[in-house]
Amino acid sequence: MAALTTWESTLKERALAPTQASGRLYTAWLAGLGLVVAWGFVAYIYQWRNGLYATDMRDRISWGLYISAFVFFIGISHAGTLISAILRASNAGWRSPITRIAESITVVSLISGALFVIVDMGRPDRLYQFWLNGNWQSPLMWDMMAITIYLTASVVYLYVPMIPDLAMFRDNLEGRVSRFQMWLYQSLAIGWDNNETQRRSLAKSITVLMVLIIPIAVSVHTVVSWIFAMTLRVSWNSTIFGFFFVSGAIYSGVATLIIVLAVMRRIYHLEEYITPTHFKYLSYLLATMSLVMIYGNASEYITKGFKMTEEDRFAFEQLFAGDFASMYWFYFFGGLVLPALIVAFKPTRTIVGVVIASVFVDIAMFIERYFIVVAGLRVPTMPYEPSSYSPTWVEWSILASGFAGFMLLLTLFARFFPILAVWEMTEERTSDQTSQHDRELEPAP
Amino acid sequence: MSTCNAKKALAVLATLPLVLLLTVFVSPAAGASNIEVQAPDQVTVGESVTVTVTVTNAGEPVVGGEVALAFVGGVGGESGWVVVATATTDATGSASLEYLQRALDATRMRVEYFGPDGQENTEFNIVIVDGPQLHQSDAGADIPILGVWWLVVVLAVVWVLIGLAAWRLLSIPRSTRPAARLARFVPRLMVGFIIFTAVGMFVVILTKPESHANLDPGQEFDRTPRALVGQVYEYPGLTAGDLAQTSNELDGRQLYVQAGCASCHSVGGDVGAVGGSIVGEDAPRSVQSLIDEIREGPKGMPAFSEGTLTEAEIEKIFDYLQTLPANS
Ligand code: HEC
Repeated sequence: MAALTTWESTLKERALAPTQASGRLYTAWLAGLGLVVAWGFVAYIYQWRNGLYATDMRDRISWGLYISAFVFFIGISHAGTLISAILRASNAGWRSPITRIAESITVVSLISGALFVIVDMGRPDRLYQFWLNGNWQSPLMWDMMAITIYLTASVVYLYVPMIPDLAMFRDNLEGRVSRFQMWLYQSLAIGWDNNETQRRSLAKSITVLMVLIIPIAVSVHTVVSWIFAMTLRVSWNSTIFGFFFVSGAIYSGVATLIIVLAVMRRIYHLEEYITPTHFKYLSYLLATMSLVMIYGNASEYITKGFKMTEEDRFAFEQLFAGDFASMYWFYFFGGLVLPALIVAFKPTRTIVGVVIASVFVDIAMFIERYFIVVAGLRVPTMPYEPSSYSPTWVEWSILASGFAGFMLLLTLFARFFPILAVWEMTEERTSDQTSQHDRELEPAP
Repeated sequence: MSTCNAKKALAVLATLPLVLLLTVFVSPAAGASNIEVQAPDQVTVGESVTVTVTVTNAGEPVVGGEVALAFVGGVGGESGWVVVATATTDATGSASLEYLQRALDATRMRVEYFGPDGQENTEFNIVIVDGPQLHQSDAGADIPILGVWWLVVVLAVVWVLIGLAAWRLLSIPRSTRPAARLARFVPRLMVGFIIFTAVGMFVVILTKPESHANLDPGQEFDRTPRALVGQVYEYPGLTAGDLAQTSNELDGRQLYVQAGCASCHSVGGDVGAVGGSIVGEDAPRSVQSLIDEIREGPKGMPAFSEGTLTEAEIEKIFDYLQTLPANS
C-alpha cells in the first residue's frame, strides 16, 4: 500500500503542476495566441461594418472557409465523446489518463465551431431571429438544437467526473494560486469530501451521461451532414453523408486527440501516465478509421461515377481533374492512405510517427470539408457560368483566430483545471493491484 | 414574247399551287369516312377519361380500323401532337380510347383514324378543371409520426436525462459535514440552466406557425404551395404597386434602391454602368429639375410616372443624392 501512496502523491503533484506553469516560452505562447485572436476580432469588426461583402462568399458560392471550419471543429469535438464515453462504457482501463484531455477538446472545439456559424451569419443578431422565427422543419434548426444539447451535455460531462479532482485542487492549492482561483475551486468542488453518498451520486450521474452522450454526438454530426445532404445540390446528393461525416469526425477527432496528448505530455511531463501504449491504441483507431474513410470514398464516388449523370460529370471533373484535384488527391493519399501506412509498419509506429500521421489527417480533413462545401456549391444548378471563390484576408484572419482561440482555450483549461483524472487513475491502479493480488492468491493449476 | 402571254403564264403558275393544295385537302374528303367523337364536357386533372369513337364509311361501320387519340403537347420547346391512346374499332365501328388527364393545359385534342386513304383527323376541345397535380411530387416525406410531437418526445427524453444527471449533483453538497454554502450554487445554477434551455427550446418549437398547423389534425401545413401545370400563380412578394403604397415610410435611400435607380446609377450613384454619375458635379440642381428628369426620362432613362414615384418621394431621393460623396 505504501507504494501506492508515493505513486499517488507524485501523480497529484504532476496534476497540480500545470497551474504553476510559467516561463518565457509559456508567456510568449499565450501572448502569440492572444494576438492572433485579437487580430481575428479586428477582421470580424471589419466584416461587421462592411457586411459579408468583406468575404468572397457570393450568391453562387455562398459558403466557404467559415462553414468548412464549423464542420471541422464540430468533427474534432468527437474526440472526447468517443474516447471517453465509449471507453468508459466498455470499461477500458487504459482510458483514464486521457479522458479529461479528450473531454476538454470536445467542449473547446464545440465553442469554436459554434462561433463560426455566428461569424458566417454576418449579422450576429440573426441568431436571435433564428430562434424566434426559425422553422423547425429545416435541418439548420435541427443542427442548432443538436449543437445546443451537445454543448450542454458535454459541459456537464466534462464537469461531473472532474468534481473529485477539483476538490483535490481545492485541498492542495491553498496559498499557491490566486484568491479568485481558490474561490473557483471551492464553488466548483461543491463540497466534495469523498464520502459514500457522494460517490454513489457521482457514479450514477456519470453513467447517465456517458450513455446519453454517445447518441447525441452521433446525431450531431449526422445532422450537420444533413444540412448538406438535404439540400438540392449535385455533389451533396448522397445517402451516406451521415455515416461519412460521423466517420470523418471520429477520424479527425482521434487525430487531434493524439496531437494534443503528445504536446501536453511533453510540456507537463506526463510521460509516466500517458504512455506509448496510449498512442499505440489510438493509432490503431486512427488506422481503422482511415480504412473506413477510404471505403466511404469508394462507395460514394464509384456509385456516382458508374452512372455519371451530366451534373455528376461536372462535379467529378472539377474534383478529380480540375480546380480541386490537388486538394482531393492530397486528401486521399496524404490524409487517408499515408496515415494508415505509417501506423501499419512497426518502425514508423512511434509517437513521433503517429503524431505526424495525425497532423496529416487533420490537414486533410479540413481540406475535405472545404472541398465538400465549396466544390459542392460550385456545380451550377442552372445554366450559368461556374463561379469561383477565393477567401479574402478577413476570412483567413478569422480562420486563423479560430484555430488560435482553440489552442488558447485548451492552454487556459490546462492552466486552471485538472487535466488528469486523478481519482479515476488511482481507482484504476488500486483495482489493478487488488486483482493482481487476487491472482497471486489463486492456487496454481 | 408579248406581255399578254406572259400574264397568262403567270396566272397559270399562280393557280397551280392552289389547285395542288385543293387536291391534297379535298380529295381525302371525297372518300372520307365519318368519325364521330363522344367525349366528356369536363375533365378533372388526375381523372381517367374515356373517349368513344365511331367510324363509318358511307354509312357502313368500319370494322377493325386503327384509331388514336392525341393532344397538343410540348417537350423541350417543341410542340406537336402527342398520342395518348390507341384502339381498334369493333363490329359496330366504335372503339373506346382511355387516357389519364395529367395536365391542365392539354385542352386541344384530336382523334386520328388510319383508313385505306391515309390518316383522317377530327379535332375537338375539352374543358379541364383543377385536380391533384400529377407532374410534381410533394417536397418532403409525409410520414404521419414524424410530426412535431415526435421531435418533442425525442428532445424531452434527452433533456430529462441531462437534467437527471445534473439533479444528482444536488445531493453532493448536502452530505458534506460542515455544510458549505458556496457549494450549493454550482449544481443549482446547472440545473436551472438546463431547465431554462430545455423549456426555451420547447417554447420555440411549439409556438412556431408550422407547429400550430401540424398540431391541428386535418389542417396540414403545406410547405410548398401546389401549382397545377399551366396555372398562373400569384406572386406573393412585394411588387411595384405595393411599393407605391408603402413608400411613404421609406426613406430616400430605400427608394433609390427599390425604385431601381441604383441598378443603373450604381449604389453610390457615381459609377453607374448605364446611367452614369448623378452625384457631386453631376447631381441634379434642384428638386424640380430632378422631378422633370424622372418624369421625362432623359437619353434612354425610363420615365417614372406619378403612380410609381410621387413628388414627395422624389424629394426624398433628391435629399439622399445630396448626401452622397462625389467619388467613393
Ligand atoms: C434603366 C436605367 C435607369 C434607371 C432605372 C434610372 N436611370 Fe437615371 N438615367 C439613365 C440614363 C441612361 C440617363 C442618361 C445619362 C446621360 O446623360 O447620358 C439617366 C439620367 C439621369 C439623370 C440626369 C443626369 C444628367 O447628367 O443629366 C438623373 C438625375 C437621373 N438619371 C436620376 C435617376 C433617378 C433618381 C432614378 C430612380 C428613380 C433613375 N435615374 C433611374 C438610366 C436610368
